[in-house]
Amino acid sequence: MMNIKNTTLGFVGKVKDLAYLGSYVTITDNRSVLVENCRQICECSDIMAKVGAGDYIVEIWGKGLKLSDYTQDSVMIDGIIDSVKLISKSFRERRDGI
Amino acid sequence: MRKSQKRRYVPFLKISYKVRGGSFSRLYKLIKSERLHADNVCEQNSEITANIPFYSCKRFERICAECGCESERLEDGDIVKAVKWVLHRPALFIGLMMVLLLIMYLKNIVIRFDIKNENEKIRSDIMNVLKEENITVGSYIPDIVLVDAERALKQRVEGISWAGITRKGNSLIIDVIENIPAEKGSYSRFPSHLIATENATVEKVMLLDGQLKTVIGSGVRKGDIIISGIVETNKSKWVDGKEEVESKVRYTRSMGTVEGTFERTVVFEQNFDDTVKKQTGNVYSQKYLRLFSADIPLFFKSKTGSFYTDEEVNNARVFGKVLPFGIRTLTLTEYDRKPIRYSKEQALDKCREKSSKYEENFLSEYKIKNKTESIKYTDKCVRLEITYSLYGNICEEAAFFIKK
Repeated sequence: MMNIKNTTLGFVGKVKDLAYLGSYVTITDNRSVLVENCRQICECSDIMAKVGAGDYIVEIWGKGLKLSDYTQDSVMIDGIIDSVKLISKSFRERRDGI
Repeated sequence: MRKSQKRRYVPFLKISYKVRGGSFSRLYKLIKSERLHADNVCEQNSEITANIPFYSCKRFERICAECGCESERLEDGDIVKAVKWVLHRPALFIGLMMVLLLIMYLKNIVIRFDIKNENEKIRSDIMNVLKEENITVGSYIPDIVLVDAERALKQRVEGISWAGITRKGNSLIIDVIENIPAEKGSYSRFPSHLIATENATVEKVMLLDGQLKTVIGSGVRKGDIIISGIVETNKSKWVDGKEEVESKVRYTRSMGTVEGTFERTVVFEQNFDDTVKKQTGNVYSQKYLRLFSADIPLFFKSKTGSFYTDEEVNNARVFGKVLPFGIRTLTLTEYDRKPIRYSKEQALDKCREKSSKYEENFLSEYKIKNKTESIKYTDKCVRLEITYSLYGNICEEAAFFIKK
């Protein structure tokens, strides 16, 4: 049986919320994705952009993707968005499929 | 694909870069840590394209070099392009700068004075005071202390009670409030005497109110009361064989005319050696370009000497509307002061000319009954002494206050 754990209910989840350490992703239609609390840009090609935000890596797939406004701790990905995928950085979570 | 579709949009102040080779992840990290405002970042075929603001170009190139990447400028933004285009044309650049400086300068100098008053005397007084305060056309406006200028106007211009100066663009607008004349007190209800204005002989009296203090044919001195405003009446009656005098005093405003004959002596003098203004026959013309209140000379050297001036201003017109610029033409008629020597007869004629002008200006209200002349010649001048025997009004009204 899959062990589903809601992190926002726990102590760590509350602390993350208060300390603004989570991954905040705002999607506007299929035109742009704003990723806040972005720590790292892994890749940004025409069809795929991969950025690290909080405990997750945000993978954006689409067409004609362009990365802009990369200042402070946020980044805007413009283009035609097909999908947005969150990949946990934690090995345990990836292994357990949570 | 069409060429226009291929063209990459580069915002005004940005420069488009292509980066190849090296570690891109490190480049991203450095872009973030250096807080570069990178736009339109896209990785394609092992190359990154990005738009970088022109002021961060050097830093971006340095970061690329640190990451071992090779950076290449693709295209400049429109403003960057325009600036480069202008900088490559120094004459145009200098001209533009000069125009900009000229505009900045002209924005800060006085071009026009707008005085909100129609009285020519007040207007010229205001301009003179402003000139004394070093505020003229061409004065640098930020250096003008308007409060001081206003104070100077209030203190030195006669006939105004308040002055205010406001700046509008490169015009100084001067608002003034003229003195409101105090209403003259009416003395028509005050008692008054009629007093003599000359040492004269009274010849005709017409008394309307008051008490005559002299008789026709008698002489009066200047300041004597001819008709008094204090009217005393005595009424006597006999009671039990005794006379009782009842006196009453009434105050009135004396009215009437008193005419008489008096003498006035006037001396006219004319030097034998004198100077006269004589036109040389030279007439010059000087033109100015009038721009609002500014007169820009259209000549190199102004004429020196003494001139009678005649001014003509021709402003440009559009559909009958007068524009605030035009040509001001000054016609200068040159004159010279030349020494002249009069003969005795000529000097005497000059004296007579003066006497006739005097009669015209000062004795027109009197009838000249007789005049006697006495002529004296000295080494330097001729002196004509005329004693006029005049007939006319010899009194004036003088109000008095009643003691209580």
